[in-house]
Amino acid sequence: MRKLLALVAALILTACGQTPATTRQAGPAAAPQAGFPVTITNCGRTLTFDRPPAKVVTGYHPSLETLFALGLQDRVAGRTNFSESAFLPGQKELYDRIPEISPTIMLPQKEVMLAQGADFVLDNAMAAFDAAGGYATVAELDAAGSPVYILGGWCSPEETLEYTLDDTLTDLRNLGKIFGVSDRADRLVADLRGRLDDVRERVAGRPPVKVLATDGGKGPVNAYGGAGITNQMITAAGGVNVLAGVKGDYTEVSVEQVSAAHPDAILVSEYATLRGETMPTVRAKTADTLAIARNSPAAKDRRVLAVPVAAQHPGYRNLLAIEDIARFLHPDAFTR
Amino acid sequence: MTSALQRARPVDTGGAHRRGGRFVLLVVILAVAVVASTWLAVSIGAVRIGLPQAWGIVADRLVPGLVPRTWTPVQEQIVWEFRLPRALLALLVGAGLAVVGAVLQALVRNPLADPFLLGISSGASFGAVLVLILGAGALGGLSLSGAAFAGSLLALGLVYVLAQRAGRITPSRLVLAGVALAYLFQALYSFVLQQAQSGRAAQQVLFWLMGSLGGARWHMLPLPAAVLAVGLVYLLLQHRQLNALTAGEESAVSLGVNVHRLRLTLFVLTSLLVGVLVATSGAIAFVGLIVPHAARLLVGADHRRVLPVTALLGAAFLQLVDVAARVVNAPQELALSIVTALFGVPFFLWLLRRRSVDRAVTVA
Repeated sequence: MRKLLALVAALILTACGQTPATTRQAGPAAAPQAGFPVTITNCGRTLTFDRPPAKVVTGYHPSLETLFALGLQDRVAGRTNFSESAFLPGQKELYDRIPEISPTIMLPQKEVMLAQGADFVLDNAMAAFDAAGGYATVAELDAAGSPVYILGGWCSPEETLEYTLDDTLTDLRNLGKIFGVSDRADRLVADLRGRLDDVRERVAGRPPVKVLATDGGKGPVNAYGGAGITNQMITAAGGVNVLAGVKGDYTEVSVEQVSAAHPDAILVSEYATLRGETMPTVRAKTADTLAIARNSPAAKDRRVLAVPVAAQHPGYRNLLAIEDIARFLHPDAFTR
Repeated sequence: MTSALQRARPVDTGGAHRRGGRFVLLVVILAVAVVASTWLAVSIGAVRIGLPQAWGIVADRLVPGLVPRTWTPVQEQIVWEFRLPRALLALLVGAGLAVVGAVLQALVRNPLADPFLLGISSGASFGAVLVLILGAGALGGLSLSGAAFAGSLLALGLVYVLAQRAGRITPSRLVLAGVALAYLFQALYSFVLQQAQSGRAAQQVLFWLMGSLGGARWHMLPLPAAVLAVGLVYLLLQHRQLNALTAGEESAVSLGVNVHRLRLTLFVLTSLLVGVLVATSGAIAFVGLIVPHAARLLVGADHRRVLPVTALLGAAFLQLVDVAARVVNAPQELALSIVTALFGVPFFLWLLRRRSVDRAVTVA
């Protein structure tokens, strides 16, 4: 019994000890910063920041890449695992320095997530906030002082279809405001816009290349339709999606349609299917697709580019990948 | 339910003669339906191909040079490599699942039995999910269908061990072992699915779990065709024993049937069939449950008639379901279980209301 009492006392003490710690962080001791409070709207919610977040948790990897691009790595206190494909140049070292709070690409389960005490949560979609999956919801995190920002306006499956590349530039500007680094964000936006403009000028006037973007499958084929981020990337890179008439982003399409689509070039999504294991899934997916689109110019020239699936999500890498795709579709345009 | 089952009698010889002509007519009608639905399946698809071209391609392949070539290589690929094997696979899977359902309903003497009852298809799904999520390396390079078949064999072995006592398989043990293992395998593949955490992989798995013939190719046809042919012939030869089995163990024994051996053979046969079918097409629901009942409503309880009618009805039904799955939302495809339920269940409810069915659904 005495033991139990001691345990209870210890628990109470621990609980008490923790309370002032969090209060101290949020208390008036923190130095007020010019330009704050900042108010941002995201997914129909209004987020107000009294000071720049200093204890950020990131979800799927493109959210972390985007913060790295803004030079905000020292604000990130916890991140998820990323082993789907290669890192962007120079980012692996930054990634390794940040504590891993989830062994998967998803945020940790509710209790672990709430225990992080994050003052800002950045992710790519709503799946990691689904109560049915055991995750902390956006409302729960809000109540715990961890406001959630979703990149690219991917607030619901329907809204992913409405994504435009400008949404990512808007995200960068919003993150600049939230973190009090608007000057950096504006420079990055100008740089990325310049790259996109350069791509647009180079491919302008060239006949669009017919592109099939696929994730493999013997039938039906997993492929990207005429709405959403991948379709936007293809168009921006001087291509035309052969499945532009198919409603949807990531969907199942008949082998007949793929065979008749006659693509000139094929983009294959690249990612390892399970954490920590690298599997050559791209080779199998490429073989399946080339067999189905056997009569197409793309199959005859074996014209295939592996696109990291992380680049097919809203974020910094997404805009960089457009240049890679443009070089693949229009190599002549980049010889100058 | 049990009392109704026990009231049933194996062979209604008086009715058999009177129904003889009607049965032949029905078989002819169903055969025409099978041919017509297959004609439809080859004629239409996500890509519009003219009838002269579509059937010219088939004719040219069967008798080269028979018709002038008016089609493109892509059209030829679509019709010959995608549509025709898919249509034939639909017939095989539809007939196979329906026959398995009929046999299982007799084997466990339960009108609710279907191919998923014995946990075999859940085992197959587990194998398939492993490969879909972990990649082919996870099971030593097994393909998707190879893994699905391995999973079904694993489930088969486990159900067999659990369902027998002192070398005997009893229906109630079979059902309980099967249902329990189905839950176990569902838990296992849900676990693997949750580990993947990737929306894309999950979407692919869900589609596979709901059944699709979209991946049909010629090389996938021989195995299910052979297993189905052997199984169907064996079952037709055993129709008397099947009838006796549905009447109850005592009457079967009194008719000289080795009940335990028959049960074991039927169990292994149906399991193999389900394993082969699920490996090629994923888990397609409802066909095995409702088609045998529809067949019994049409021809009564004698397995000599139930089995062929079930096979033909199942083949035509799944063919039409697959056509709908391809056409309704083209060029995207629907998972087959959605369509089997949407079209099959209202039809079945109509059948249930239309006739006095109490006697027919008692399996025997």
